[in-house]
Amino acid sequence: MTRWLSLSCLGLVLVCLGLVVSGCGTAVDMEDVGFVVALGVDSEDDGKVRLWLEVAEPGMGVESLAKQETLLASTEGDTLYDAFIKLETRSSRNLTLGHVRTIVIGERLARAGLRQAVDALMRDATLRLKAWVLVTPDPVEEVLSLSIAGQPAGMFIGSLMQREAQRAGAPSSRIVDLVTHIEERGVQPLIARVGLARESESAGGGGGGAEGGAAQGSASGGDGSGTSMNLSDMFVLNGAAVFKGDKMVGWLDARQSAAAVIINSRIQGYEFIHKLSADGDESIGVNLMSAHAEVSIPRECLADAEKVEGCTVEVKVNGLWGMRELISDDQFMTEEGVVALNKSISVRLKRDTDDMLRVIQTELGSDVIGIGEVFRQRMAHSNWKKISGEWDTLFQSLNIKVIVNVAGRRRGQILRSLSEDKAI
Amino acid sequence: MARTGSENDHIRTGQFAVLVAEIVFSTGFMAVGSVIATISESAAWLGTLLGAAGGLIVAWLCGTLVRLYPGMNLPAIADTVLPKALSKLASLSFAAYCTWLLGIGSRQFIIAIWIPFLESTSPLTLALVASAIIAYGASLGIEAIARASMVFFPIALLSIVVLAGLSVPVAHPARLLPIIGAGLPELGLTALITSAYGTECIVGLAFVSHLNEPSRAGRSMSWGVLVGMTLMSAVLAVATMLLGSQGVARVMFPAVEAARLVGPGEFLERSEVLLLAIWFSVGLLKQAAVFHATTVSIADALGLRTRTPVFIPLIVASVILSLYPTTVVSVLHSLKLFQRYTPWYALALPALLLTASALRPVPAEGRRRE
Repeated sequence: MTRWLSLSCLGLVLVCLGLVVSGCGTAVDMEDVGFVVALGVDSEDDGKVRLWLEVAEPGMGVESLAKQETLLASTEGDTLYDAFIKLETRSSRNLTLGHVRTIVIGERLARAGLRQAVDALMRDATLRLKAWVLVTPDPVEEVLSLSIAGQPAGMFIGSLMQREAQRAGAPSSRIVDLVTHIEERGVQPLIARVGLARESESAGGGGGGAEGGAAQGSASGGDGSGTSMNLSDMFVLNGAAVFKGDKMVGWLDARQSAAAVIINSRIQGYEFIHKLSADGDESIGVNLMSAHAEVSIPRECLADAEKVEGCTVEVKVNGLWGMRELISDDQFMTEEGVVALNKSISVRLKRDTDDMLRVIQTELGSDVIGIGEVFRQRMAHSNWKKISGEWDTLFQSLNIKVIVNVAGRRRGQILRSLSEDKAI
Repeated sequence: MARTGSENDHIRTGQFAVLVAEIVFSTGFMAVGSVIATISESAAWLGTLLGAAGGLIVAWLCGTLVRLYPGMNLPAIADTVLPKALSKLASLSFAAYCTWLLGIGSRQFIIAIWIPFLESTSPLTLALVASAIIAYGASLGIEAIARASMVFFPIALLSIVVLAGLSVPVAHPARLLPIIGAGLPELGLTALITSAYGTECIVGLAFVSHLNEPSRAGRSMSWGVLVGMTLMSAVLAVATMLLGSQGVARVMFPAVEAARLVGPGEFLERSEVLLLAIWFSVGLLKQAAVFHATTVSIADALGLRTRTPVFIPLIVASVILSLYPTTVVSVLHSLKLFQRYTPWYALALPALLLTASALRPVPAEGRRRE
């Protein structure tokens, strides 16, 4: 009896499994699927939402591997999903968001608020929570239309972010970070800024100026697959958009953004040019190999919610740097020279950090460095409940003291630069 | 007592511990976070760990009961120590509980596959396939389920370790602070709610007659509860580190979202499928064990000689129960009912039997066997 029952059940399993074998039911061929690799969204003058989808065109053969073709489709709707429905009805393919690598948000929508736009994305079961989110001040369409060396915008920006997010060239702004920080009171979203490099701009672009931007310029060019590019062909990650809740309130330039990222998380390989002389003739290429920040909050501020206002918070940044380039007569071959160099680089980083704090505390009033999150973690929940609602105001009142202490560890493969004095 | 599976169904204490751990952990861990993270926030994982206490008490009570009445499962023990009417009521309540558990587990299992992965597939198809696999597993007997569990459960355990390892680059351990979350009362409430999963171990009373060493049933059950709840807590801790407590409370299946966020670099897309395949396999084994317990308990409660007459109707019932309630809101409501009532039922049943046993002298035969 049991054997009969077992065989019957096995047979039933096989029959049922047969029902779900692709080809017998709702099979979908590859050619019928529209793989969206990048998604752009912005708001129109009339308040409608405009959606762009960069859809991959899967080709056949070896040529398709070398050149990834995409189609940029766009429409507008009352909401993001309304626009998506319209695009779906115009597409011969089943659009799927499962391969979205990059989401580019226009500045106008970012300033109006992202809560509604994010809702549709988070409800989609296929969307990768690891997709990068960026805000652009440029027209979204122009950003997503740009293809570099055959690589579509979505893939190119994704690759840029993959590398730069690790080394403070851009904040690590994945969609999961965005939605998490929108909801958490103690830390606000800091979203990477992507722009199009204009010929008038420096290679690095961005608010960081020559010092902050040089590294990024070279990084972006490095993905060119050996094809020569002029500057108008390039994307640049230069700075970050500061949010308060779901609304963007302003920008940080590249240096300020890097300083915020250093405080917020551990980074590796942040590169910048540090001027050693006022006239700018002498400089050092610095690779901040590692850096992390420790936040100290006085006990009385943690114990008493009333004392949080005006509280003095200490942020200690420690790190190790390596020398990548030295344009200077002084080769820093003495202990005193190395100490002075460490101090000079520390002062530069502190200046960047203070500058960033001035912007986010005084001008924007948004805690993108997560000091509130540190308060939440360390104080009693009842105390945090009392102050969380007014955290933005309290954050502005904090006296944040920054102490930067970085130490040189590597000089590269040579002890000194080439010198005429040493010629024989 | 109804004959179950093969006549030679014997399970070792190690297998019993794994079965219990599987029952405690396998379907609940996917959704438990979204319910309790709203209460204790960052301490949801700790509350889950503390919730093991309820399961350990039930395991101790059950172990004591099995030591007193070795070789008997719950209805037989009830028949021995309780008056006939009360015994029948206890047996029927246990059968009803197992059926309810089967229904809730199946529904959650179907939703966990359907919503995140197979949205376009008919839930009826999923229910048919899952029920057929579960029923087939149950038809092979508890020993076969235990043997399969001995293979799959360690793999599931390994998958949790892998999940934790892969989450290191993207996790924020500080999100687990403050350690007591929203406060001690909330932590206690969370522990009480999650103890429902630990006390699910009472289903093991349907298998204890198969144990080769009944005297060690309590210890095996306790280990099962501890391992199951620790794993559940670990998954929740990882999910909190990845999504934050607000994120865990927002999503339907925090464990699934956590798996989707981690991966070996960027080169292996959709690697979460490997983890989920393991978790779903273990989920099916748990459901097969609960299905087996349900058939046995119903057959025993109704005084049937074999469980075969129960089998086919229960397959049909399982398919239907996998499809209802229809809305996710209702499913969450039924989950809350499970969390609210399971601990009390699981504590009350063995406690009642032990009390009755103490008040009513056990037949000498039972004592001798011990």
